[in-house]
Amino acid sequence: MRPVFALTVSDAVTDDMLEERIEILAALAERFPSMGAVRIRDDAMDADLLREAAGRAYALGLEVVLESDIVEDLAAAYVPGSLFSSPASDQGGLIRTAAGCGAGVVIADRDPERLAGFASVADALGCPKVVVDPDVRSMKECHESTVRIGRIDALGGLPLAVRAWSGEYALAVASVGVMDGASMVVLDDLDMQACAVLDGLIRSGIRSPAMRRARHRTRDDKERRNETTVPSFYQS
Amino acid sequence: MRELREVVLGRGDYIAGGARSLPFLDQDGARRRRPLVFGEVLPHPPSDPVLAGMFSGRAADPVEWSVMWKEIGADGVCLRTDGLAGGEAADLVRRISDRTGLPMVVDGDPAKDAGAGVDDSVLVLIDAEQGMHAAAGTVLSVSDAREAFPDRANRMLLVEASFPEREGFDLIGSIRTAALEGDEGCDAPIIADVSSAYPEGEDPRGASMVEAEAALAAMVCGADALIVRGPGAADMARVYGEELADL
Repeated sequence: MRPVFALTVSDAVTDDMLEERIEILAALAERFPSMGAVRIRDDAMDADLLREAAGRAYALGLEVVLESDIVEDLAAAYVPGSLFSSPASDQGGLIRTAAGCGAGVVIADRDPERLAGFASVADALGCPKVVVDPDVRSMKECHESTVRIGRIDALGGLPLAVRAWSGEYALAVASVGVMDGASMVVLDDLDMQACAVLDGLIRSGIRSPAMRRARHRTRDDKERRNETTVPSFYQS
Repeated sequence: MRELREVVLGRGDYIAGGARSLPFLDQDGARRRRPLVFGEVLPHPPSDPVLAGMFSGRAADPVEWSVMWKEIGADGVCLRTDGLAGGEAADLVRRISDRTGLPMVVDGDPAKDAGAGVDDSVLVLIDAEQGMHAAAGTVLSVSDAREAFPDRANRMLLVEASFPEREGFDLIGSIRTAALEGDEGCDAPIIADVSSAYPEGEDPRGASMVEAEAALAAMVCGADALIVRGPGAADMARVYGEELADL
């Protein structure tokens, strides 16, 4: 499945600004097929504002990621098919809240073993979608963490999310995430040019050899050899 | 731990290759070495006025253009010599090498003749006379361009990677993977030419972002050296390479 990228809507804006932001995201999503999700962030820490923003974003027809430090706000703002995310909160509480609402969950933790444990809990509680987020702080960390997660049996099959910020460095982090197997990259913001670059990368299917190797680890050697072909003229 | 082959370039002060793992993975014992960045220079000014503007008018003279690449931190210069007579190309290569002291990639027909005037620096020669090798993009580097092309020990592999087409990037990854798995035919350093990713007609920021994305992809796939067209991409590639290599 092709990765998607998400841009962010803050709920700490006036009604007009929210409307304008939603219109911008709608235009970007129409232009760039890889923009398949939108994140609504509870910057105002107000359940009513988060619910209002979530409702408008839901109308875009994109996957909605609701993010808040207050998990109760996520429950109040639930829209069908949404993913709950709360990187700064207790992930156990987040998972229970998401499961109670029938929402998917993005589990954030820098420790892959804890991520695996949380993922199995979310699965056992019936969360319809479980996404793991290694909570990276840099491009280097993104590369190392996403590859490490891809090599862990308990996590290798789960969708992986990478969060980044805005601007050219965030584009680079998101790009490394995509090449290393992230199924979703969530950014604060990107302008039109950066969206075009990221969309081009995602649609190209360019992936790192480390990601391919991790994904192929469980296949038999014969199949793997067949997929790693180097033209003979390079070998003479 | 398997260690891939290195090639010493320039006056012995630049090294390409020597990978010990898939790119930049400290968890696998990666060698902390970033890919080298070569800036493209033509015998004539670039046709794209935006690109020409990025070099502050100094692209009117290929030697000054090359010096500017050095000033902005490139590791080397890639001179395309097509269209120059053999003697002209050799003279230009020698003058750029003397002025910059940087390693050079010489891309032309025949590159071997173009490099004949330099005997104190290891050049990387991309030579169309190499038949199938050149058609596929094999780079041969020699310590003395007056000698015949060397054996495999000095070979590098050239891959043209045209973002956003994935084939070149897949090939880089496949070569690196095969080499680490023991295929000695693939253990040469890989030089990725991403210059064709530079989109003519774009504004400087947009053009730099696209080419830098191609450079980043090539690095993450396993390139040991890059050929880029724009200074913005060169700068970003160097910074990204340093971070990924944890330098």
